[in-house]
Amino acid sequence: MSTIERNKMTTTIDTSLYSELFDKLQSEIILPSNILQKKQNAIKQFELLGLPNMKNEEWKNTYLAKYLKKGFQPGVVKKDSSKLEIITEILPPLTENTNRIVLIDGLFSQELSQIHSSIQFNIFSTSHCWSENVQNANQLFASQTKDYKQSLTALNTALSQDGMFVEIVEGGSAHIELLIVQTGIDIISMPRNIIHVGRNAYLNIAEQYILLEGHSMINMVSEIFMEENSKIEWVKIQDAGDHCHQIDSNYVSLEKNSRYHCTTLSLTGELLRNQQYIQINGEQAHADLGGIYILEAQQQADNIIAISHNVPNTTSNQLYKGILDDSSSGVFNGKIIVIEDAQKTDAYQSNKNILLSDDAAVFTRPQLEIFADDVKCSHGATSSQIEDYESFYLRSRGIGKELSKSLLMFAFVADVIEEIENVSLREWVKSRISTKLKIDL
Amino acid sequence: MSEQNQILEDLSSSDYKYGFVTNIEQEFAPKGLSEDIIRFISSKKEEPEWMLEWRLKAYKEWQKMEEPQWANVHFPKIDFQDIIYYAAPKQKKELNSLDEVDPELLKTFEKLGISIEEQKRLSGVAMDIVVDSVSVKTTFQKTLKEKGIIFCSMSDAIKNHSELVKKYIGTVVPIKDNYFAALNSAVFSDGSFCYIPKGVKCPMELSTYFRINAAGSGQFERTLLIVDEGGYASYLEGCTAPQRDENQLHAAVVEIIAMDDAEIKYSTVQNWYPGDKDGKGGVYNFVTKRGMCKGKNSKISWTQVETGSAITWKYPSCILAGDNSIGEFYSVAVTNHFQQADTGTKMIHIGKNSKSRIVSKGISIGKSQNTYRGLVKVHKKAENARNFSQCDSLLMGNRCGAHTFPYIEVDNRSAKVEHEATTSKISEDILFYCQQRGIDSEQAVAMIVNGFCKEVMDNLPMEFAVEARKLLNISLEGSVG
Repeated sequence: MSTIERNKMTTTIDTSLYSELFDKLQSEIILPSNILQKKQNAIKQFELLGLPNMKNEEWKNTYLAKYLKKGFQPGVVKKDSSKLEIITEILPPLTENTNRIVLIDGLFSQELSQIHSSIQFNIFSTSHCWSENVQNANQLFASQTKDYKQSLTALNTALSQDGMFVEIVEGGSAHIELLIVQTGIDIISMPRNIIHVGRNAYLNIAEQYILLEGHSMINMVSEIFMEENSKIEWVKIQDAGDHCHQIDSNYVSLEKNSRYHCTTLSLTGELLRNQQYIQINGEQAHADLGGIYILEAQQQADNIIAISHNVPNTTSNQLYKGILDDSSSGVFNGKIIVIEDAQKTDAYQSNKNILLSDDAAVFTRPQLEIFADDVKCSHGATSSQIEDYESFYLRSRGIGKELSKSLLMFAFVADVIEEIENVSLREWVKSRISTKLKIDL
Repeated sequence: MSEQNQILEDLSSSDYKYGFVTNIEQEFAPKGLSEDIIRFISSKKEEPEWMLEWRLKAYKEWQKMEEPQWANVHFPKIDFQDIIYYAAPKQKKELNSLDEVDPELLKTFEKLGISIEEQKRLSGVAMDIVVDSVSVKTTFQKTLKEKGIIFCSMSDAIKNHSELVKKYIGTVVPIKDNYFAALNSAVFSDGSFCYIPKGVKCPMELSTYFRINAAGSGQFERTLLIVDEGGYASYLEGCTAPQRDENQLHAAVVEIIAMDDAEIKYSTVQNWYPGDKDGKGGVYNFVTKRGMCKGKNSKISWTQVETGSAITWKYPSCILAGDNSIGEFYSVAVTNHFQQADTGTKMIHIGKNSKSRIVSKGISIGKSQNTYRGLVKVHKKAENARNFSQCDSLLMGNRCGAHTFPYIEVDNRSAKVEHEATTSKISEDILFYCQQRGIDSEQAVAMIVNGFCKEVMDNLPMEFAVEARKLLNISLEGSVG
């Protein structure tokens, strides 16, 4: 890219609009003082940082302004009950023992969400927490994100109207199906989720997006707090059509012995950006991140990861696999940070890509920043195409050209799927991938 | 083993072996940088008009630029007006043979372990020695001349081979390339120039030895190496500086060009003064090195052993423009005490079937920081490009850091790119294995480190391999326990 082109691409979009909106929002919604204070700090931080542009190392290959220019703006989302009926019809059937949370354009839908009453967990909307002043939720709000210089996250902190608050009590467990429904408005929806998993508690989340019509942009932020011995299994499926733009950030803190496992499937969408910022603060804690992106046309998937090992004896594992066709592109920016004295850290990182077309591109930056000596850290990255001899092996055994290609692609991503421990989540992922690759398992 | 033991013992007491100042008469330019200084340097070197213009253009560009901040190194801001941009040993008359070289200077080289006479007889290495930016003596001129090889100082080349220099200078590293390259283009005082004509395989290793001698001076040398069709050259570069408290700046530019079927092997052993145990002093080594595989089937191989300098900031790169061209990068970077190194390579694949291989070994000791930063870029037209990268880091001590920032950008599906990196310390079980066989821990560490770096060391020419191993052992000293 020439300098001129680059300069053009870094032209910033006017951010004053966002600040004005914040003032408007503030006058409409009554917030407890501590939340208001946090939101004010966040808008100040956003004004300082501005929208990310390509000069920002993490956004080097992602041209956000291009997507914003499609007409997306920040705004105040109003509840629209006229679409409830249509949405109800397209929602997938609910499985037993599962709690359903539906966010419509970033607002928690009381009508469509189905939450069992249980002493094991509390699930509220974030706006409920603010109006009823739920202490735990309000204290946790923005307590992790404030330390990161992420402008879109700051914007979410400032402008978010709603989201989900999930609290699993000590020893409890919950299954959640999170449905993020976008009705096709121009307003960027900014749901804000707070998840607090108590000691010895377990949570699994199956998350997917649904787009009713038109296009949508979403900037979702989740703050996750994991206490001792807790465990989270989370699967995110992004497959809501070509007109989706999703920026999804998870901020996770792990205490002793806790395990966090998140798998992201980026299947369709014009911009699918997944950011995971993980702080491992307790010994023997483990973070496991998996990702599969299978893209075509002009789609782009970004996986931005930063795992910070802050105490000794912790482990982490990243495994991301991508298959890119047409003019699609994949960005992987994985970082492992091992701070001083965080000895006996074991951290692995792997990003493998297959390019199917001449116009597809992959940008991968697996990074290590190590400040302790007694560690084992490694990373690997590859890029290649499907080799002729591989498909020859299958075709010489009577398998057709298309199917042999699909089988090889499935095999390529299979190890990410196998990492998922929860059987129903794993089967769900498997079926979505096989549908995508048009193979019958 | 006894030999290795001896080496360690010899060296374990010494701090920095090359920390001496030679009292030879020197000629300085006044401190500071301005157009006048550039004119002064240019006229001192009796340069043609176009060279002066080129320098002034670079100076103007440099003034517009900002010092880069992205590297993973930290140092106080450099005052570019507090540097002497030209310091030369005073030359009273033309020298015809080595006997006429200042005897003090000859002693310097003996102390460095490079007795010119001995080199001349035994190893057949042609040497160009650069002290404080001025080339003092080029040995073996005649033998090379018979083959049609031009190997001389940059200033001689500008005078005598003006056309060649004019044609190639700045083509691989343009003056606007980066801050330090622009600075170098404006004020470079000397360096080496080499041209290998078509079909000539250079019969001996070409070598340059750089030494910063004067206090408060920066060394800005410029090397230009061109190997024409079917030629071959192996080039060695060694660097030392005396021990001084203030930081000395070294901002060199190296440009190498390989035409069709040409092969160039460029080896560096860098041992500038790294500063003392408290991180005081040392050389800032900000170097731009780039090779262009211009022709088909050309090959450029960079090998570097970096043990010195307070701060190293360099990325010897290859632009693989020719079809079937090959780029290689082998590096060992050792940092001790408060040293910082941010080094790596760029492999830009443009030609079809171009191949590259990166092997980088970083060793951090004490409170040092060692960074690998690299880029592998496969352009759309680079069919069947192939890259393999491996960067391993070894950590010794719990206050040092090792960082890896590889960038991989692939725009062509037929490209095969592999990258792997590991970071670890010397494992207890390997140490235990050695120790239970009667090898003490210090020896065991030296052995393991030598093994860790073997792949790179094997790529060094004989003369350098011995020196590099010794340097490695000095740097390791005191790092165990």
